[in-house]
Amino acid sequence: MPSDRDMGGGGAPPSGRPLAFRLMDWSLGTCCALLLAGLTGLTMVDVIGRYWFDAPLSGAFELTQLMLCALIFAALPLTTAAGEHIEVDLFYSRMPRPLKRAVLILGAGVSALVLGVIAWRLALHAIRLAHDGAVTNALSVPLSPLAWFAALLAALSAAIALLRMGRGPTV
Amino acid sequence: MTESLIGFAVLLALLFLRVPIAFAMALVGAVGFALMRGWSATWSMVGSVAFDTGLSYSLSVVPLFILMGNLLTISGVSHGLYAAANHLLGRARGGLAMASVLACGGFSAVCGSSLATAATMSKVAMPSMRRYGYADSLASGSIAAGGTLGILIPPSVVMIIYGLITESDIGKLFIAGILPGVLGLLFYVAAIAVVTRLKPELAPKSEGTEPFSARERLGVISVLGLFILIMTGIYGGFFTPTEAAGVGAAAAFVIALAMGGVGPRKLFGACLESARTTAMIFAIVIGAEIFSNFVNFAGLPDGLAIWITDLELSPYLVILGIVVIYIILGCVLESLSMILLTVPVFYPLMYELDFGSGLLSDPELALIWFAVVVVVVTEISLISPPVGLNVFVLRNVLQDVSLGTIFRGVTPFWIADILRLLVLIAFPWLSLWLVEAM
Repeated sequence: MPSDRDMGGGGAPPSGRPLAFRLMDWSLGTCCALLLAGLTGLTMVDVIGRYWFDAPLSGAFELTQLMLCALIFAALPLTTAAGEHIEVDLFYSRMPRPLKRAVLILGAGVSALVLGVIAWRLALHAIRLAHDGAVTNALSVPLSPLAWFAALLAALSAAIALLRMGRGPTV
Repeated sequence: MTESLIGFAVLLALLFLRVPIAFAMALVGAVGFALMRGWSATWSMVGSVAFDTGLSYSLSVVPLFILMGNLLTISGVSHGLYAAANHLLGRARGGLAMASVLACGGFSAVCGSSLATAATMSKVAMPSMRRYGYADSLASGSIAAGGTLGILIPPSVVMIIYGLITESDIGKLFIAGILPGVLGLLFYVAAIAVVTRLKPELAPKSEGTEPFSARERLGVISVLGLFILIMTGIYGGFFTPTEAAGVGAAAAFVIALAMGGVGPRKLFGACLESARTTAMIFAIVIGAEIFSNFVNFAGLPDGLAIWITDLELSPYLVILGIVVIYIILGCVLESLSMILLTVPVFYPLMYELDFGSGLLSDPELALIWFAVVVVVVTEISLISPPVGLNVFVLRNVLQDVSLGTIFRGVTPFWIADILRLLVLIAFPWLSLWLVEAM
């Protein structure tokens, strides 16, 4: 169980980390906060508009989908960097130190591999969506930029997982 | 079917080597799928699963309910819940522990996560139980156990995921969790009463209760109001469960501001936390989807259903067998991935099992009842050694209490949970009565 995880909420981004990471926390964090605020606000406007003004927001459904997708991929590098993907460390704590090191490398390696493949497939998906000119039904929002966004952030997450291969068995 | 069993074995081996659950499931699922259907089909499956899961409208409840819980956590309404529960039960023997359980139940009604409930309440209830000289085992055990109610009492992230896998009505799943959740509260309070009667030294009598501040009163009213808003909203048909999450998050934001003491920094922190938890959950959902594509293609759920039906066992025996599997899996797996891995395999059985006449003869109701059973077993896994997550949450907050002490403390609650599980299996109407009455 990740011992550095605080499920209680409210923690500010940790300081004392490399500048690149703090910059990422700040920029992607702001992006996520705006998306969450957007998802919340959108629902409120939609529900209130429907009942009080008899004017449901057209395309609220689609906007929710798009913002959700952006939120997940924007948060993925943050989760990966914070080591918050759930792991079973039942046996890990009883392993000798060299084995711990090997196990950490394996875990980070598999993470990087899977995230890398996902990034690659999302990029190809984005190219195909652009080629087909795929847009959403109601608002005609082109889908390919979102797929590119997802691909890039999955690639960033893969890179972060690779970096985490080098960390020592301290936990 | 053999292929899927090999897949499960490899997956467990990777998990024990501390490969993140999400990525282990994706890797095994993709390789297994590729060996059976070829690589090009696999590559396009991986890409579309990742993108389409992100675009899933019904999953937008997940970040919003998490945000709602985190906003309420920083707002400090939990102090009010604890003070109110204390007012009610504080004078009984073990009353502070009972109050902790009750306050956990109250917080569960606005929070969909067991870990968040336990983490929040531990910061509130633990100091006061220590001040009155409660044993660490009883004090921490009651919070760890009370926290598990987070995924049973609506809203519940786990119920949402179950609803998506089985295509059940999320509103009905939510309402089915209410009575079993209340039953859980009663059983926990009874467990505390029994334990403190047997070992009075665990819980010294406390001197009356502390005064109830205006801020605490506002906290209780907000939580009650929010729960009523969400439930009447869903059942009155004013909004869908998906929209309820958005409305709930907006209301929680207003509550956090009204309670005072919440600045932009804390708000940003709560958003960041919610976003990271969301990405963690979606990574597991994507991984599990890839894995179950492989397992389904390999024919495990169908094979299992045919095999079980051929055995002509009593349906309740089958359910008990599944429960035993869950309890064993729960000792090693994290709750969300356990549900994502097993429910797709087991739920088709609910259509095949013959429960005779009565409530369970309707497969839709049987699925809802099974959801309650699965969630209660998952609650048990959250406090089962060696990896019960809620126990680890308590351990993180209370650095000076050993894991052994907390596990000793949850034992009476664990026994109460097993009894509750048997009661819920024996009397399906406990889960289904409210669903039917709606």
